[in-house]
Amino acid sequence: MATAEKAIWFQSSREQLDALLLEVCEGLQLSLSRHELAVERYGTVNEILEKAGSPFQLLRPRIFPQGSMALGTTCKPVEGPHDLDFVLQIDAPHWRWHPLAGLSALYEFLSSNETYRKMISLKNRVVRLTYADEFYMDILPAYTDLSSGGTCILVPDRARVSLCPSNPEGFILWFRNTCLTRTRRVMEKAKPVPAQEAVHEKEPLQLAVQLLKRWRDLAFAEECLAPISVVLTTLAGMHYAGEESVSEALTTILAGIVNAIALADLQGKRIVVRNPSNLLEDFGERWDANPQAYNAFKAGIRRLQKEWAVIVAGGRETDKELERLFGEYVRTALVKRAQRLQEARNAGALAVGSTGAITGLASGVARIRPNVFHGDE
Amino acid sequence: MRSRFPHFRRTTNRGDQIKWRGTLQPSPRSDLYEVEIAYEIPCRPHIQVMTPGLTTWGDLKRQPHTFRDGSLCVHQAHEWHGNKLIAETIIPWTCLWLAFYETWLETGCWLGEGTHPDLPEHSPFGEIVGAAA
Repeated sequence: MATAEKAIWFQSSREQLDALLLEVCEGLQLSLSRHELAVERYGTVNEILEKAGSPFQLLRPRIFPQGSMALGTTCKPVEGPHDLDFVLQIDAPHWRWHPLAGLSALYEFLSSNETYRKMISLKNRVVRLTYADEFYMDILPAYTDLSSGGTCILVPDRARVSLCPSNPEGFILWFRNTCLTRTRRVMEKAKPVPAQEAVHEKEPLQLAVQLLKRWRDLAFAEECLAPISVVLTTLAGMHYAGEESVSEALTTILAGIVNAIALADLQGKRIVVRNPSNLLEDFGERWDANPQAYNAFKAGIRRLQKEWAVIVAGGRETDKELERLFGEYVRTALVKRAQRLQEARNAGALAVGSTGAITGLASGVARIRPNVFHGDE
Repeated sequence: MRSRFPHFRRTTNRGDQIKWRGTLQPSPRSDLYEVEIAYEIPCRPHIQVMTPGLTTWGDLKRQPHTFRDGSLCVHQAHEWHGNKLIAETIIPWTCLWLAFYETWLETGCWLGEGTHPDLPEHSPFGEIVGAAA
């Protein structure tokens, strides 16, 4: 077989499906130029927050990415801007100040900046900078959580007027470690700004998360009902069992989530999605205030599991189903594969196996000789 | 034929006419196509997909590179003659046709090239997708 990203012929249905999903994820992820732009903007904001005149200058500010960019699970939005999440962590005695003091100080400081004044808005936990070119950057001011230790932080929540526990850095470490397949279970350290990985370098779990997020974006028309990314990412990580194949990983993850939902239903509860790196944080808590969203998630994920099983079973028609679930990148991937097939045909590099499967010259029973498709006008 | 494609069997053999029927699957995720190939001297081999029935993309009336009776046209007249083995020509070309057909059916793009590029079913990527989407 050719290399994973250039595959033309396949030994098995699973291998073929994985290659297709890999190309879909290639379309889904933040392009390299957009990634570089995001890193550049992150650098600029970081500089401003650290330099003289910043209220954070003496508080040893540390700004680092969290969310999909740090996890390697970026997924282009179906429409609207791409969000990038950063944490501004300061070492300060938070108990001396109002819980929202850091958030207010960040908002006021950036509002006083000529460049950011027109781009800034205040959200429940973050200060948002909206760029003209389909990006927004959410900056979460946070205090080091000295009592919990490690990489735990406390983050402001305007609705609760309090500080809430979190641990995005620990979450990144947990996810990156969970990502490793059975054969590659070794510790990795999170990098402050991970370089953009090519899709073929990504782990199956990262790809599965990208696909789940894309499914979410397409399946939930109402944003208020859609499960948030960190819930999907955590659930995927919790149920991933180290599969080497993205399609098999997705099968396992979906089965795990559906089983967990069934178990919780039996107990008359919702599933709990604890931050594995800070058990005080439950990413599913929004469902308490919005049970309709939990019901929509349950119905959606059960439906996805059934639809996914049909896709895994194979058959040409299932490509349409894949496109319905994950969007137009499926079509693009199929076109690219056919283009590669045509190139290999022009190069005289194709043969067929005894079942009619197109393959390389070494493994075929009959070479595909030059021909021109014809027909009636 | 049987030595290369064991899923094919001869269904008719009466001197000037021979027919084979068998299954082809151009990729592991493809459908399994039952194909009949009939060769009657001095005509060109007649290739018919029996099951599943061929369908079309969008509103198009027929598949690319087919004859009006729905049989496949996988070569130009001069590319085949009676002393060429069907197992070495017609069958591999049919597999290739089926592979491109499957992409066409999903995307509306015929990427296997061929004659009559101006026919609507042969339109290159982009034009037809935009027109029929």
